[in-house]
Amino acid sequence: MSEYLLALAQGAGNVFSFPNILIPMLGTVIAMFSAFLPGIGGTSLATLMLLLTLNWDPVQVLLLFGALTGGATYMGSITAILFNIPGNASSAAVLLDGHPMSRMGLPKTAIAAAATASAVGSVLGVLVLICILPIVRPFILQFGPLERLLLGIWGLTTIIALPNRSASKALAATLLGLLLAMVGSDPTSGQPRWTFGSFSLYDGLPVIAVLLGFFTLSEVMSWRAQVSLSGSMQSKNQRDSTRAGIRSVFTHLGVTLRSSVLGTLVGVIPGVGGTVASFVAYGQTVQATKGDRSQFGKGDIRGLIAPEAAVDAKDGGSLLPLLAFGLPGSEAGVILLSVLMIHGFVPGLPMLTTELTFSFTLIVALLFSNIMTSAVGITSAPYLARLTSLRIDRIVLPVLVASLVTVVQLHGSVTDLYIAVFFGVLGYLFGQFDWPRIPFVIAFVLGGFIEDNFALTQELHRVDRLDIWGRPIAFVIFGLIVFSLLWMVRKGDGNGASTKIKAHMPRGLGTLFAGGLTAIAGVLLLISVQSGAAYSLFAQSVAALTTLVCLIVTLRAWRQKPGADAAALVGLPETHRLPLALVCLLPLGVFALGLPVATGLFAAAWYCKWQSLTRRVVLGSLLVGLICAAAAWYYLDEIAIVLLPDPAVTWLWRN
Amino acid sequence: MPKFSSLPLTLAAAMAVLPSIGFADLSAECSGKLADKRLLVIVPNAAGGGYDTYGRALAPVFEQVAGLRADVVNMPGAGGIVALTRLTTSGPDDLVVMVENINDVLGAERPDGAESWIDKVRMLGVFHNEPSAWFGRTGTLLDTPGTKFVAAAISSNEGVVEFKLGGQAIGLNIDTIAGYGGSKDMEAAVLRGEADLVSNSLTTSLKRAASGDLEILMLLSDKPNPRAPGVPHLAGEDGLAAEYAKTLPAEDRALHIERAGLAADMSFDIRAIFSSATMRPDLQACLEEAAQEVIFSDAFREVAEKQGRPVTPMPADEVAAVLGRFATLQSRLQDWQESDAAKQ
Repeated sequence: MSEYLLALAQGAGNVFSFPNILIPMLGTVIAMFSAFLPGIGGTSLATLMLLLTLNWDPVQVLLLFGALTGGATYMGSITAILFNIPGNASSAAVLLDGHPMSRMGLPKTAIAAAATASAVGSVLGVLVLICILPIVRPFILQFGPLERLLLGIWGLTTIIALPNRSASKALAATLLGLLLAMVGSDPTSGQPRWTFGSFSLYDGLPVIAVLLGFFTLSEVMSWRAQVSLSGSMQSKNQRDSTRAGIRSVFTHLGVTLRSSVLGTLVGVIPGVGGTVASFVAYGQTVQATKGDRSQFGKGDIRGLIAPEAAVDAKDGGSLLPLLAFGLPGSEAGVILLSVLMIHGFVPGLPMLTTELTFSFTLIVALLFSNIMTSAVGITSAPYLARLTSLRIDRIVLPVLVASLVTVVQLHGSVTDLYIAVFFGVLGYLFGQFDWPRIPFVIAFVLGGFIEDNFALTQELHRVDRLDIWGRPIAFVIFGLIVFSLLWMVRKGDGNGASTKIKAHMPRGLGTLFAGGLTAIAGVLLLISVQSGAAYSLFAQSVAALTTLVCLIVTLRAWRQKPGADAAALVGLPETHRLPLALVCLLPLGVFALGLPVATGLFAAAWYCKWQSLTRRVVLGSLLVGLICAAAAWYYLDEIAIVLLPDPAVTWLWRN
Repeated sequence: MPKFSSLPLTLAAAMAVLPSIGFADLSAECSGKLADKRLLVIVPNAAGGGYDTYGRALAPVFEQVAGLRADVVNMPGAGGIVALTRLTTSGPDDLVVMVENINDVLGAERPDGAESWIDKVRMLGVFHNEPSAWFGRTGTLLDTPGTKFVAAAISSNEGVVEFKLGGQAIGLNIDTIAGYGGSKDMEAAVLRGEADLVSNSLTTSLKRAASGDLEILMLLSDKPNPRAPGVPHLAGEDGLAAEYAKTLPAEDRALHIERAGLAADMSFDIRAIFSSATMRPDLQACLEEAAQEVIFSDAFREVAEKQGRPVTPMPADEVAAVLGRFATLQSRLQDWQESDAAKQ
């Protein structure tokens, strides 16, 4: 024990000595800034640093990479809270309640709460890491496909607790999420599934493109006609303060601690990741909340604290399998593993025994970085909050162009832009026709995870390698699922809404939308039945069930009489028509003219004041378009280095 | 046109290379054709992996050797098919190359349904080749014929043939669990006891074996390897397959050795630089000349090896022999699969 504490002290000493302390400080600052810059994601940054530190002293390398691991996580939440743009996939859950808070005039509170939850989560994650490090190896090996499957199902059951106006629509949205998560390839055979011949879809629909489209694009469409975000907010909320944000984390200490533990646990399981951690924590918080849950998704601070605490606690947890077995849980983890190996550290028993001091150096650097990021977040909350009062009509275009270009840059694929646009329109229509978005997203994020582990569990059963009675943790998670379901039944408010509002689905467009979703699910079902082998029974069942439930929703919509407020939902608001048309036309423009030119035209059309077309307005719009096209071209060609396909017009010219 | 490096990663790689620059020049003709042009090095994976490391180590050395600007482009997706499609549809004057494993290039599905990409690409040089290895938990023994083993694989069409073929060669009954999310997920499965063995390159296997939890069980090659002393190999006259089949009739023995050779060949890890077959022949010849300079340079070796990526370049004449061997591999594999299916 004394040796253990000595190693911890030496590890801390490595961090908090001069000039060593400058390295994690620098690493944190670099990670924070890079999280804001498109094109330099966490993985690219780590790769860059790996190259630059080849000749560094190993301890200094650990200090830097510990800081890089912790620094970027929280910053992704800032853009999610302020602009509804998730900086990374795992911060998508933060925007569910974070951005509505911002729009309620509580941006300072939201940023401070996120920063504090992040700090508490990371401290708890690291404390757990320090406590269980010596005994962690057998524990990690208890998490196989069966446990991961049950964890995914547990996350999915939380959807029942989410507030929604229509249980059938929530079920349909959940099934749609599960169904679309299966686009790609069969987890066992690797055969393509619902890809329509596109190789770009073989690896499934990219989560970040889907989330960016579903939340950001759909939101931005309504911004064009606004002068400022605060125009749509409750003007200057008197309750908004940094102190209130900090205090809320401790007021809801149960939520913070439970989510932190959950995040740490998810981090310990190799290959699960922060996105699952944040959404499961969000769902669990809604489910476990006593009383009114109707504000979740509309700005409930607990819905912000839970995913933020979980994601940051996960960082500590994910170091456990990496150090104990060399099993990284993410792309950044893979690079960290490379860094360790390059500098002579061998993950496994040595990192928990003879090299324990170095393990603690990495862990304490991570902790330091997390706390420093949170401190910066808290102190800068008042300044960051001011960004919401910027003229939105001036920043919306850069936000939009940056989002679209970033989507393409992430995987170097223009198909991702088409996917983002599709989900942007879908998200917009979900909002217009009162379909719940959160069940869809949770099911989409967890769907692939559940199916992969279901398939593996089946495989293990086939080869007789699944000893259910020897899996105690599976029983614990199964117990949690049963307990959760019973808890909700006992509470008797399955849909979680304190005041149930009867949906007023218009007979016309609403029915058409539900019918359209039914048609999509039906076509996917037909394809799966006709194509056979690549489509597992699981995939076919989900397709069939989705078609059925969507059909029921369509029929109910058709039979329902329009309510008094139906008019508000029927037609598209006039100010949304042009943005929606432009977003829908963008893929066509990109295909025909290439991304830079299409971006330029899009920007010009967006910026143009069509009601008062003067020479000056036209020239101004063209100038904006030219600048956007040049910026997109320069960024993609010179900074991100993305090799895009030739536009159709070039192909026609050549032939 | 001024030459400048814009991507931070490339800049960093260049900085890592700079201390050890010192090359032979290209022929005057090729220097004229390549200088100041832009070369795109496609990596068919996300940033940060092994191929990305090689790509970023190659790019700055290409710049120094050929006086061009080399940028690395990551194009992950569909097991390399997205990148292959982009490479093979580049124009005749486009300087585009790709770093990839020869097996992945030859085995990848083609959009037009043709069997292989071999007629669509040209190999400019092999910068690394090594056998694959099977590794499992420490103490796992492969020398008990008839024993049932379970191997972990990513999908049922990836790795399964290697395990089945290799297992048959040494009398083992190897079943495969498919569906793991990558090499680390498969290693975790072995550690958890769900699977007994997993296959990977020798370099990766050596790294994994260093922890003490896993050990290399067998090399898929026809000779021992000095990097893995004492580890048995599958094929060849002194391989495990020959040892297992020594008491069998000559015909059966030959069959086992043939299968072992096939398993070793198909899993051999050959990492190369490819260009599109549509590239202008004179440009291709110059790029090949540059590629040979690069892959045999000390600068490339030093930077790659510093990052734990070994460099074992192959001379051009051996590369041609490799391609020839791989051309026959597909038909040999098909014969085996047909005979295996007929037996079942």
